[in-house]
Amino acid sequence: MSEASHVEFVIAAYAIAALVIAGMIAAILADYRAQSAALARLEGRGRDGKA
Amino acid sequence: MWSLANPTVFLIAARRAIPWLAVATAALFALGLWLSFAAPPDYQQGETVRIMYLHVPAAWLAMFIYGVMALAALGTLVWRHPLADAAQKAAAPLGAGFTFVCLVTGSLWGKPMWGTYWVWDARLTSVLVLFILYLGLIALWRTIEEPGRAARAAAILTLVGCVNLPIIKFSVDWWNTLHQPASVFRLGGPTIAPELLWPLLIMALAFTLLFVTLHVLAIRNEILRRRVARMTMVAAAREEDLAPGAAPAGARP
Repeated sequence: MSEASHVEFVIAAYAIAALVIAGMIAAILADYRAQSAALARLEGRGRDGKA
Repeated sequence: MWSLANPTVFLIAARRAIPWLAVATAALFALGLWLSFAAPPDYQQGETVRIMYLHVPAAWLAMFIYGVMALAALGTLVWRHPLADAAQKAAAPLGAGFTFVCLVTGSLWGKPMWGTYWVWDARLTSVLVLFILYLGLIALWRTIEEPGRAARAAAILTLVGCVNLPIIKFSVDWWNTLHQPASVFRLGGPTIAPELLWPLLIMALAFTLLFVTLHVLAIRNEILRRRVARMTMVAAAREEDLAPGAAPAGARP
């Protein structure tokens, strides 16, 4: 089988895998930021309520 | 080990472990990718064999993550442990992601080697069923509002779906498939040449460590999300009690 003409399949496979993995990492980090911000806001409101 | 099952202890341990896990994952990926592209092309498949270094680890993880979810499902149903449910819920999107990578890279490998992106053979179809199972589980958690009920329903569906794992593994032995039979984990040893096998094993380890790192991060998010939900309910109840002219608790509808 000829291999030279198939490099585009290798590039596409690595590009899509990198995109999916980067997407999963970004989604998890964004979720962490959102939950941390919500928690900080609620803790702030709790402190204000007690004061 | 069991002390980690406490959410607060888990958060402390995760904060310490995450930087080390991230560095180890990045180092293993750097080594694995370098070895993957330094390895010689296959004598039959040529350069397309390099897709194997993504496809095979993603396929292993697709099944491994479902196994992790099945163990967590047992933890939810038998011990009713809240962290077991968090672990299961956090793993599902990762399982879906890696199964998607497995399907797409397999398809891109299949076109030049088989002449087609897809065939409805037993291996490909059973992995597609696994992908749909992951999506179904994610949808189930989003559909049922009460977290306890959602956890039990998802745990039961996860355990029922386990029947698909041996079908995926042995489909290439039980039926005539276009997909090749096992070539790494098989009786009699691997059939792959060592210069191709070593990069594959390093990439498999890198993918596994990536999953462990992302899973720890996602479980941490899930614990925080539950704290936010609990504190929101407490804050709402407090505001209701403090509201001027509020009706007595017993008189509320």
